[in-house]
Amino acid sequence: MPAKLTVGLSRKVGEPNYGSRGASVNLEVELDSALITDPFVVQDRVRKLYTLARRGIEEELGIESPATESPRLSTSHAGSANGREPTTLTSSQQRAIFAIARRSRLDPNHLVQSRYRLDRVEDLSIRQASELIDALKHGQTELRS
Amino acid sequence: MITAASPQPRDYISYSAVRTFQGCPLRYRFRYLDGLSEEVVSASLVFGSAIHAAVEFFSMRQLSGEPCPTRDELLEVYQDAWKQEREAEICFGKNETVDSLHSLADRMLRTFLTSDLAKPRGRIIGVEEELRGELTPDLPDLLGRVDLLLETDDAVVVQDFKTSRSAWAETQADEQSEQLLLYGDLVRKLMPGKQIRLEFVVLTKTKSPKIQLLEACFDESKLDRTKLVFQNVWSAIQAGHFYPAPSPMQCGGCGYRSHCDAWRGNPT
Repeated sequence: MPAKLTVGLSRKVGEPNYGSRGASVNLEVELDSALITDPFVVQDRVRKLYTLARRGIEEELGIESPATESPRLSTSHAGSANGREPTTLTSSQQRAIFAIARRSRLDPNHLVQSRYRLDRVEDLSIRQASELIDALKHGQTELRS
Repeated sequence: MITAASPQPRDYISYSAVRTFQGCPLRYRFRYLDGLSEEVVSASLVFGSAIHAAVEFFSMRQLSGEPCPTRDELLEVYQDAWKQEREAEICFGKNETVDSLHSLADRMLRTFLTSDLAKPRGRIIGVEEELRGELTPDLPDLLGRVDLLLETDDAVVVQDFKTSRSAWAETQADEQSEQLLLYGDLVRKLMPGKQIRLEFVVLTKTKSPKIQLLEACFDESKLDRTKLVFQNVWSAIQAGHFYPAPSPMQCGGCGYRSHCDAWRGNPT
C-alpha cells in the first residue's frame, strides 16, 4: 500500500499601511511504501517538496528567491536583475572593509552610500569592494563618520 | 552495535564528504549521517589545520592593509589552533611529539614568510572563502572553502594550500586537481569573462622546508568526469549503500574503529 507524504507551507509579506499578503501551498504525493524504510530517502523527498512549495509561494508573492542557479559566496545575496554586477563581495572583503574603516574611524556604510550610491557595504560587488579596499588602504577616502 | 540513528541529510555536498565515501562508505555514514565524533584524530591533520590557520591570518592581514605578521605572531595563531584540539585525542606518528611538530611549524612558517609567495601576485579577493553553487541539476549544491582567491588583470587565481611530507612532482598538481577544478567551476560563474587559474602552494614538512607553487591545468573533460563521479557517489549515498571498506592504509588511523567493529548492518 502506498504511503502519503504531505507538506504545507505558508508565508505572509508586509504591505504599506500595515497590510499584508499571504500565500500557502499544500502538496500531497504518494510514496512507495518500500521507500519508507529508508529515512534518508524520505527526508530527501520532503526537502524537494518543500523547495517546490517555497518556489511556488515566492513566485505567487513576487519574492526573489535566495536560491539562484549561479554559485554564491557565503555572504553573497545572489545575482540581481537590476543591472548591478552579479555577485556581491566576499566575506573576507567585507571583514577587511570594516577592519580598515574602524582603524581609520570611518563609517563604511556612509562611504558606500556616497561613493557607490548603495545602501550598505554588503551591496558592493567584488570589484567595487576591491576598489574601496585599495582606496581605504591608500587613504583616498575623505568621509569621516 | 550501532543503533538506528536519525540520518541528518544535508542540502549540500562537499568534496571531502565525497572523498570520505569513496574511501569508506561506512565512515561516511558515521561522520555525515550519524554525526559521530572520531575517537582519535591524527596529529598530521591537526598540524595541517593549525598551519592553515596561521597562513589564513597572514593573508587576512594583507587584505586588511595591516602590517605583515611576524613569525612569532604566526606561531601564536598556530598554537591557538593546536590548543583547540584536546591532546588526549590526537594520535601522533612515529617520532612525533607536540614539541617536534611545533618546531617544524616554526621552520615552515619561517620558510613561508621569506618566500615570494608571501607577496601575492594580485589583489586578494577571498581568504578561506566559502563557495556554494550548483554543479549539475541533479546534485545538491557543492559547498567548498577556497584557501585564497586572487584577481589579476586577466585571471582569477584559485589557490589551495597544502602541507606535504615531501615536495610534489610537477605532475602531481594535475593528478590532484579535482577539488580545485570543482571550485574553479563555481568561481568562473561568479566572475564571467575572467580566465581561471588553479594553483597549489605546497609547503613541505621536511627538516629544511621547501615551498612550491604548482599550476594545475583547467581540464574540462576531467571536470566533467569529476562531476560524473559525484553523481554516482550521490546516488549510492541516497540508496543507502553504506559498508566498511577495510584497508591497511586507512583503518589504522580511523577514528571510528570501535563503531566499525560494532557495526552489524544498516538499520532497516
